[in-house]
Amino acid sequence: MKYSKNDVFFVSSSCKLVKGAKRSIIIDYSRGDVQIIPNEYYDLVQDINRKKITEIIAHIDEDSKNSFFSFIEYMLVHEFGFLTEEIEKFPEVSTAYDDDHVILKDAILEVDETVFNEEDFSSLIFQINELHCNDLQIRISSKTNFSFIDKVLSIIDQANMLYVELYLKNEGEITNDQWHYLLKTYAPLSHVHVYNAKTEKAVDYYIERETYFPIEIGKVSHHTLDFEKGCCGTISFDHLNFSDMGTHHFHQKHNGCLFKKLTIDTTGNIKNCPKMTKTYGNFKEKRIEDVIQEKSYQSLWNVKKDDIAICRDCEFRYNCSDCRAFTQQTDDEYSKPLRCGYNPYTNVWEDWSINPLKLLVTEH
Amino acid sequence: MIIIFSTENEISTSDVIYRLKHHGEEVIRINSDDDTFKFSLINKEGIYFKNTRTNKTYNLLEAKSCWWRRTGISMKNFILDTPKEDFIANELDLSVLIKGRKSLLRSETADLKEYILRRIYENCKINIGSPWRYGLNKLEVLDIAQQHGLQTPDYEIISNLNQIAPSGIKNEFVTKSIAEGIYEVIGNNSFYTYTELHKKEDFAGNDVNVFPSMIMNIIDKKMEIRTFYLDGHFYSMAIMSQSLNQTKVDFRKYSDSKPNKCETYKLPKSVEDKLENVFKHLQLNCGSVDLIVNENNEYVFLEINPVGQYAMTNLPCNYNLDEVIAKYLIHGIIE
Repeated sequence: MKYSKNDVFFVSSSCKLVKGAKRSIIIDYSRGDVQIIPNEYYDLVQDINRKKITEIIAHIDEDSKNSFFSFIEYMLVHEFGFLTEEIEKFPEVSTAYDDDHVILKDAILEVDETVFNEEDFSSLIFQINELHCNDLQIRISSKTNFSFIDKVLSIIDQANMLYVELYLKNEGEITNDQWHYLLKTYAPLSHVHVYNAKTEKAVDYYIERETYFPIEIGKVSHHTLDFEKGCCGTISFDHLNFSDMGTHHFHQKHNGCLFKKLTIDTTGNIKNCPKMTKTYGNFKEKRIEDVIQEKSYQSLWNVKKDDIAICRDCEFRYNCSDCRAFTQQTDDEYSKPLRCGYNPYTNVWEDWSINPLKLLVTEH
Repeated sequence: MIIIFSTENEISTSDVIYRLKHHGEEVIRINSDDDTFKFSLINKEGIYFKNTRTNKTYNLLEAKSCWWRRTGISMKNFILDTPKEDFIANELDLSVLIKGRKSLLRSETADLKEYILRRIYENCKINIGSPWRYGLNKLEVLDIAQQHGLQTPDYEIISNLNQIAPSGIKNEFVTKSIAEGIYEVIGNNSFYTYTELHKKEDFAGNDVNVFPSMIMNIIDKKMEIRTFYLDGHFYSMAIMSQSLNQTKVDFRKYSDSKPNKCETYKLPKSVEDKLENVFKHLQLNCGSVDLIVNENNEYVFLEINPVGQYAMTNLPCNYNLDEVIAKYLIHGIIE
């Protein structure tokens, strides 16, 4: 390996190393890449980061020098790290996560056509908008109906939402043209998830304008999973985030799922999450703004992955959004998510639902 | 009250506004390409614009600070509709008076815009950017940078290809646009003026007249630096564009599979001081600077973009610039 006598090794601003019980990972957020390394190499990086190569090798046994250099080479080839003679010019990236300006991060609204009240829904959207909430998920539990969806979206359209996603059951038919109309008419509507579908499929919708590339306006995904059971709390490798470093910093400080989240059920009850039974009153009687300031409402906001049993030993802990609704021990708020099949002590992913211990909990 | 001049889809503007609103500030965002704010009145007391969504009218001279982020005011803010029909009077086609480059509306708009921006800027002790520094002249800025002791690349502007061989430019050189360059999407193709690498021998013996064209020495690049500057503070990033052939000459030829690494970076104090002098010379308190670090570890100044996308520096380096800008608009200082 080529290096000069003043060369200092440093880990790239875009990379994080996380140590688990049995192995470690390097996450390259700029390239959405994750690599597994032995824990010994995690420790090595902690020891050598921002130090001179010549000083490090003075402390390394003759026998280990080859593997040391090949590891550094590996880090440099992948650009997980660099060499520089002027380390003072490459300050470490800040790990700060500043979202003080966000009062509500996202909201889940459950709606049912049979009990829907237009006036109440408008006032709900108005209240949420006042709290600067930009991301909305609408879960429609009644039979799918184009004109009802159109009405719901037209009310949401009065507010300044940036992202709206729809969760539906596969009952009742909506044509491709109707989806195109809805995705085009309501700019924030970006993703539709249809559950209980016969086959898994996803359709992208575009608008084409002269002198422009076709612009993607949204996606409709069909899932064979059941609406009630499938759309919440499942953690698999595909759910992990390796592309946004902000999320990594966020998960080091807050609960990835519940922090600044709001749920309103079909009758107007204020909850942390659709799958949790606890309610904090009804939005028609209490101001949402007041409820979310209550200590009890915020009690799970800062349950971090580092606080949760088993998860705290998992190398994927800052890539995972967590779930507090379904946990292995229902009476322990620091218990591992039930619907996660990963074991950080064996590094094996298994289907959570066939784990005998978990079946017992589910039946309860 | 804080005024921001921008365009409808400018995301950094929105990000700063979220933070200003959180700090309890009233924000007037005037976009050049939407219908929200319309001119209402200028009188002795003020300059009034009306928010057509809320029907509320604001005296823009009550603002304590302003930020000229992008275009801001356009004809759209003065009239309800751009005239589409031809203007025929007494069988004479007078459309030229109301449409096109020589129209009265255009010249009236230009002077109104100039006056309104001037009054607002004079009135706001705290301000960012400058509507009068939008299209900086690259050649002038290179001269100014040199005057303040910054190294700049050697170039010549030729009018015949046979001037390339005898020029003082090295055998390998690049071509660059003198002004902003092309940025157009036509059909399913995008057109940009990339910086392209050439060799002198490819042009030997070519007696061909060309439009005045810039040829510039290629710099043996170690890395590129992007710096966001705001009132004496520098937020820098190193782009490690040398490891990939595709991005060696122009990093904007992005690689999807292996995007260039962007590292937090601190410029030497001596370079920051010189750059600050350039900004002061230009009477500009905000902008993005492009530099190259050459193989001899020297800093070569390329250009200043007064309305650059700072998000590309902010995101990988986690500088929290939206909050820095918001606080600056409120307090006029950087903590």
